[in-house]
Amino acid sequence: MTRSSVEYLGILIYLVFSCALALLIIGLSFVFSVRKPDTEKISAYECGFDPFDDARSRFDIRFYLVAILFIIFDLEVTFLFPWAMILNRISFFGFWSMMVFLIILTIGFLYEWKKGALNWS
Amino acid sequence: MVQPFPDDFKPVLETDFQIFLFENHFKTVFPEIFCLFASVLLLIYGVLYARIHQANADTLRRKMKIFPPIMVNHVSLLVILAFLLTLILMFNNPIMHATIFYNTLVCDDLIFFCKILIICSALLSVCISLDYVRKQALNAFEYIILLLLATCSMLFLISSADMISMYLAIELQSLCFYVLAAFKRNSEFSTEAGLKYFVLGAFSSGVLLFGCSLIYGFTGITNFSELTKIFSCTGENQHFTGALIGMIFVAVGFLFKITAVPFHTWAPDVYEGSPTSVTAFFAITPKIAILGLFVRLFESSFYDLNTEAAFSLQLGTTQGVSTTFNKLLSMEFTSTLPWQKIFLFCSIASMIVGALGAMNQKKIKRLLAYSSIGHVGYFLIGLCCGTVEGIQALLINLIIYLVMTINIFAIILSPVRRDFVHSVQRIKYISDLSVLFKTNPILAITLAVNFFSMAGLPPLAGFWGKYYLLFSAFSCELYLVAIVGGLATVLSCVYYIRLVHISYFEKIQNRLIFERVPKINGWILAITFFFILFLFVSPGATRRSTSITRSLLQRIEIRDHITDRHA
Amino acid sequence: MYLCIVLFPLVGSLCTGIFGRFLGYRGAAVFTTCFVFFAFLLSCSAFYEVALCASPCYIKLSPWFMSEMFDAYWGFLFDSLTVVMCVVVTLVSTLVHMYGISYMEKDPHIPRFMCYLSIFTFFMLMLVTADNYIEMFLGWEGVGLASYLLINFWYTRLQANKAAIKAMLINRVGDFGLALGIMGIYYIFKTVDFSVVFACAAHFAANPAPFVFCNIEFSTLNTICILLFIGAVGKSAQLGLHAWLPDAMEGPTPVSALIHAATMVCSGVFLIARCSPLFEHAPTAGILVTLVGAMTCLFAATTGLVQNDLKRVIAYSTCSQLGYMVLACGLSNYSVGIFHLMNHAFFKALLFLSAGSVIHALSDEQDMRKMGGLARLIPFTYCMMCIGSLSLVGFPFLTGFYSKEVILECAAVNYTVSGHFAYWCGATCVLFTSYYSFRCIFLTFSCKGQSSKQLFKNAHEAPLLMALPLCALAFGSIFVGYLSKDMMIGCGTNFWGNSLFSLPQNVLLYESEYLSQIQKLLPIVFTTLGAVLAFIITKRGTHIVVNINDEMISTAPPLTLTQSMSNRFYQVSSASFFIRKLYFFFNKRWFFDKVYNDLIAQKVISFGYKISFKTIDKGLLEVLGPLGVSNTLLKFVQQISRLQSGFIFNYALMMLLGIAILVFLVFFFPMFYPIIDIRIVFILIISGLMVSPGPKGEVAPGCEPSEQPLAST
Repeated sequence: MTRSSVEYLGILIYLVFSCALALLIIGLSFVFSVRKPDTEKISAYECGFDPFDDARSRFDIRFYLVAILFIIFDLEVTFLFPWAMILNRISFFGFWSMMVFLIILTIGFLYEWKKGALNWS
Repeated sequence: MVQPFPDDFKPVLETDFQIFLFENHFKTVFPEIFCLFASVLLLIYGVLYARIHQANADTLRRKMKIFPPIMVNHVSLLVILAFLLTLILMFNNPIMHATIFYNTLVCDDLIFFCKILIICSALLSVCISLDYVRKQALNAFEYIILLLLATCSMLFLISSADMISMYLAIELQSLCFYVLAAFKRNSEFSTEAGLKYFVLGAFSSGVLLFGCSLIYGFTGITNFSELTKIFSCTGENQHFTGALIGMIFVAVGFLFKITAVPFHTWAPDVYEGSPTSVTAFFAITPKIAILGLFVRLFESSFYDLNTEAAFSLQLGTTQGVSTTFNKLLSMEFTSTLPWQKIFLFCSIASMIVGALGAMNQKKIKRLLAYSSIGHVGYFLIGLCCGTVEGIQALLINLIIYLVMTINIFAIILSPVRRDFVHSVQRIKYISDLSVLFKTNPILAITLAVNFFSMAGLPPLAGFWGKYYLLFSAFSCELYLVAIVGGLATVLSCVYYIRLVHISYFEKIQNRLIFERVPKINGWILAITFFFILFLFVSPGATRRSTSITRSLLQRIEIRDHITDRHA
Repeated sequence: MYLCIVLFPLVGSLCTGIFGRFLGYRGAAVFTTCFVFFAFLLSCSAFYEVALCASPCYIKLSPWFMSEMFDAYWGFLFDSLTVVMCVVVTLVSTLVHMYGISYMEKDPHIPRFMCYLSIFTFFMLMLVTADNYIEMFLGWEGVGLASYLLINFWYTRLQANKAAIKAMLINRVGDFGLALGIMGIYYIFKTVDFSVVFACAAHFAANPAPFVFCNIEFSTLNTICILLFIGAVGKSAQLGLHAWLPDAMEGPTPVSALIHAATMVCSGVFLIARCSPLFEHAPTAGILVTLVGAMTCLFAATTGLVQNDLKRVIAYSTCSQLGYMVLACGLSNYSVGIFHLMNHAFFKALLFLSAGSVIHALSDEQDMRKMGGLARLIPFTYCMMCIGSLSLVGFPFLTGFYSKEVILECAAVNYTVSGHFAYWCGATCVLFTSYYSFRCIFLTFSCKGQSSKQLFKNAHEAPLLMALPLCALAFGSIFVGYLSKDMMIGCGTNFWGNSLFSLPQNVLLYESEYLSQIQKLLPIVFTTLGAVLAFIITKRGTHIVVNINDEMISTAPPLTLTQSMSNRFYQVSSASFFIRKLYFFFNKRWFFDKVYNDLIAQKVISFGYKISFKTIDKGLLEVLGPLGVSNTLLKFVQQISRLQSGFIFNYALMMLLGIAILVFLVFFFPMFYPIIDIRIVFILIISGLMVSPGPKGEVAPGCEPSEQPLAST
């Protein structure tokens, strides 16, 4: 093994370990569990009732949109955190760099506001 | 709040940062910054004043039948203005050669040339699609903003000098393209095209990033020029296996984007499903950007990455290579440059698939997708050569391809009218071109000349492109690609000339009536038509040999100066 | 002036060819005749300068082929040999032009005729004045072309078409030999220029660089000379490639006179004489030449014995005399051969033109058995024909006598086997020549008239324009031999200068003084014998038509001795099986035509149709080529279209496969490359593409992406 690939050794061990563990868990239950299937046991769970409908229904795309918007602004906040920590060291230059980033995201926010993505109706 | 610095911690570099940065760097990228600002401002402008969703709007307005303006055309014209201004700014940029932003961006003549090409192609694509957008009711101004943003990202892509900036730019471009491909919301085709493009594009971006990370992992470097230096100075016992795999993955990631075989499979579906104006943009601009990047990546950075150094197998002279046949092909199979092998394989496969795949098509956009796959095969020949001749041939071909594709899309984007099938008011099938000769003879002759040029018939422009390419391939002893190139040209003649045949000699099929070509389409058609027709007068004029080769030679000199070798 | 000799006929031909319609028939005729006549005058002047004043002329005009080592110029070489030929050619051509004006005066295509005659003259002059082999080859092919055009002049006649094609094809075989010879010359000498080749010929005589073929060494000069001789065989109708000459009589009589008597058929002899330095150093070729010439001589004479067409007899006589010339050249007596050529031109042209006059008089009746009794009706023609025949058979002190006798003497005196064989063939031929010539005259003129009264009523004498050439040629036939004998074949003459070369050991001129008297007198005896035999056999009772008025008074004297002998002869010969078979054999030209037709021509044609055309061209090559490729490609293309399935996971799979292939190519391929042979891969690929022709598949509808939304992702 070459010198450079030694660094990846940890990842390899991790990979092997996680695969082994996952296989172990599933495999053990596969090998040792008792299987006596029954109609009631296999059916889908819906709080005790019989299922009304197929679980795979279409969902409103608004949920997806909300999730995406959340991700974006969450990442914005994530970037804000370290910046806030070292703001004293990177004085004005750092400040204005972050401002540029924030302005761009603000434009995006303005766009989605005007487009009505924040309206839930 | 900003605190004063402690005395022991003197930020020496900070002031230097500011001085460096604000002196020249922003001036150098001023055109790109303008482009970005334009896109942002136009976005705000558009979003403030344009509304199409009236379903959730006030009932009062609906009752009063006041409909908010659809600003697509308006913003499109402003975007055209933005492109023109960017072009002017680019030409008047005082700084032509610079490495800026801490070696993440670079400007020189080749990059300048590619940027001009990109902006021109984007400009022309927008111009020819104005009327189409209106007719097809793509009533969202975001369409054009995304186009502008994509162009902007390509400008950054082409001038990137670091893997990170390259990846950022390519992602920006790809995201814009994913949305553009799916722009027609009420067409299943379009949605499917966008989704396919997105999934496969994400896959390829992943591969690209993986390659970049492998290269970084094995060499510790992401800067292109540093990579050049590292790979040039290899000794006999240096193994670059990891970096080699990384290079392969980087190449794969990009080859996907320019629809090279075997990564082309998304192209026919996506090209066909997207709105035609978007296809026009797809077919030209990213290819220019990525091929320009290829020139810088593979002719500079990875140029000296030899498998002979990476492999301890000493080949020497290949055994039994005494016959002419083997000598003829030995270059392809025994070349020690791995990137050359990659591009050779992709090039040969692209040309063959491009030639063969289009023969069976009945829809015109799929046929054009395959034809562009074939053209990419030809471009990659120029790249394989590894000589300045090859790069020149590549650039000439790019210009000619740009002109030809703009021409053909201008024809396809012409307004048409069908008498009986009202749902399909655009050119969809090949047989829609029938009897063009009778209805619009000038358009027919333009089409004919264009297709003949694409087929590579002298003395039209396409022939000169292939001429330069094949000659540079011969001079590098890459005989197999040249032969396959010639054969593929012959095969591709079949479907090109079949289209001309259909437009001239077929009976009336669909009663598709070509209406009056809009003025700007007409201008662009005329200019490109004359370019194609009269290039033979002076084909060497397309070789901006002095400035570009100077910059290329500079690069090569730097590289050779390091390694003390001749080019 | 020299160039004008060559170019005047060309100019005349071009003008008549292009503007014939405007010149009209009289204008075209006069035009061309004048041009050729001027060429004749100029060639007389050239003869004086070059031959009599001994100053050959070399003209180099301009480069023609300039290709690295191979260069050929447009050049003209006028030395004694050339100017002799020029004079002969232009003189005969002029006379034939003049003759043709009145012979073809009822023909609407006179301009075309004159054009062809002139172009023939041009090419012939090109041939004889050529400076290098390539130009001579141009002239060679040109005269072949002109011969085809002229034989085929009445192109609506099927026999003429067949004869012309036959002439062309047989000439082609000869041309092939000549071309190979020229290539061999270039290969050995690295040049095609005459002067260079002849200068270097001696060097190659010792065979420093033999041709190696199938591990056998062939002497270069012998091979080249044999190949050149094959060309001569084709053109000069020697045995083997002679079959076209009799059939070429389908053309008009002036054409026969010009081409097949005086000029074109002599080009073979000219070639041998011109290449005399080469032939001198190739003794094997010389033997071959002599043998072929002798056999031709004999063969043609025997066949001419029993022909019934007037022109065919004269054609075979030409063939036989050509055999003489060739055998003279084969025995290294090139000057004698050329001398005979010149003489032969005169009397043979005379014979042909007077035969033409006879045919013209009898309204195109050519069969001798239907003629007879024309002596008093067309006395002038009778006289000319007699002169020609006497000259041909070698009547003492006429032209033919001098050349034929010398040839026979040279043949007799040569110590080799081939020389003796040639002598006996030649001597026998004299007998036959004399027999058929006199038979011809007797049957045509002296015998009892065999045709209808109408024919004889319209028989008229030759008009002036036809008579003048006959006169001129008659004078030539009588006097030219004596006048130029000493100049051309006399002892110690330097007339020929450098043009004809003989090795000193082959010059046997003086030895002929020491021949035995019997050998010297034999030809005369045979001539007389032949005449007597002809007289006896043909005179089965003569009737002389006295009056050309309505009533013909024919005398019917009682049978004389000769008549009874000839009747007896006919009785015996028609009863005897052997003589009948022999007659048949000779009449059918020794069955050469049948052999050529059945064994060669039929086989080649059937091969060409069944195998080359049907099986290979329409079969194999079509399958490998357009048909196979297009079918396979169509099927292949449909397969490729199916790859584009529309499912994303397929696409992702293709991408992964692509990555895998690329990694393989970069890393592992160099390990495999030296092991496998790349050629096999290519052969597999290409044969897979070619050799699967299926039914012609229609273009399947293009694979479209699935209409329904994606199901699986």
